[in-house]
Amino acid sequence: MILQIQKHMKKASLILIIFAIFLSTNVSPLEAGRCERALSNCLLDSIMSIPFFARVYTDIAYCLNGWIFCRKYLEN
Amino acid sequence: MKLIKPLFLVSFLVIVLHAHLPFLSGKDIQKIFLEEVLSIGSMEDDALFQWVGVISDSDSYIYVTDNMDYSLKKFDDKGNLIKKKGRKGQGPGEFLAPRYLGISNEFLYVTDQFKPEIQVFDKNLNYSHSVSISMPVSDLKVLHDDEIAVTTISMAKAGRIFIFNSKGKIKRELQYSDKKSHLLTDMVNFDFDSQGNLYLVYNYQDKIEKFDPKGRKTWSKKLLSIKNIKREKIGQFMLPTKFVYKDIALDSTGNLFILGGGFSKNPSCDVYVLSLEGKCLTTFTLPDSSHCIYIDGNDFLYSRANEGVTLKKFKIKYVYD
Repeated sequence: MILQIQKHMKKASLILIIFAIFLSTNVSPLEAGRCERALSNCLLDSIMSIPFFARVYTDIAYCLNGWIFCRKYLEN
Repeated sequence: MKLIKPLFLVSFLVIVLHAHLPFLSGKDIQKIFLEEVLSIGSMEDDALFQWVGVISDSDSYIYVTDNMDYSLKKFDDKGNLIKKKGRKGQGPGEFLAPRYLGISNEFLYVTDQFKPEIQVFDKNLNYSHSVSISMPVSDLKVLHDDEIAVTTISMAKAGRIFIFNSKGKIKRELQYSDKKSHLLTDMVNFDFDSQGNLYLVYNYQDKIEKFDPKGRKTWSKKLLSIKNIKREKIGQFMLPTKFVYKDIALDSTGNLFILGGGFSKNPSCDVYVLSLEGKCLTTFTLPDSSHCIYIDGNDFLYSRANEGVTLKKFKIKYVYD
């Protein structure tokens, strides 16, 4: 049983790392902006630091909330 | 002879009301001017560094969140700093990124970008308790201590305003959009009038809406004739990058003030004034770009200057037809 869980954990971690690498390489021209750089870093951090999928959606929502605030504050 | 006194009184009241409360006589606003009455913070002092949220109480004290020094600040009506609370941290009364403010008779409510809760302080800025909210809060209005209305960024439940009780349980949801739409399309700022009607401005759509207290849509307006909001690829997401409307506030005489975003002639400065029936009455321009507007109970408007170093307070001057 424990071996099975460990196996699943390894698989999940591998998928997350691949997703994180994919995120980090997928850079758009807009990411020259401060807010976009912060969003990318936030998304990377949330994906790298969370070993379970359950919290990822919430963390992405926090990252997006930060990005919206940043754009709202800085957009003139 | 007996009739003269009451007649005189009634005539006097009619004259006074007509002169001072033109909105009661059905007159529309023709123009609005702002008269600056107070300016807090400048490049030369350290009163404010990068303020975000502002609110005032019935005693005209002004409360401000400051993102740079992780604090909640209280100023008097002359702009003197009365008290400052908070520091960087995860604990009670500490902030990671203090944002928006709500107020009740007794308490101040403070959201934080990175904390899954709303922290509650008394008017002397002493930490009282927290209301746990597991989703990131993007706007907040406190109806009373047991009814805290928030909008959140939720992938699963977009298009809703959640009303939380003081324990952090959802009391009810106000669904303003049931369409399956793109990510962030249904993001709004909102306000309630004293009758419980809800007013929404969409951040990424040219749409302003009113809902009655039973949740029925009363009207929906477009001001800028924008059809398509461009979305750009950021990381993995296709996101709208330009704000249509940034904030909404109601004055005491029943007018809606809406701060325009990047599509306005003067981005983040133009304020559209609508009647409660959705008729566009006039437009005016803030002297500096702002991320928000707030109107207190005495019809003073607060907005940003110097990119967040300065908070300006204006008296709203109405010119009627």
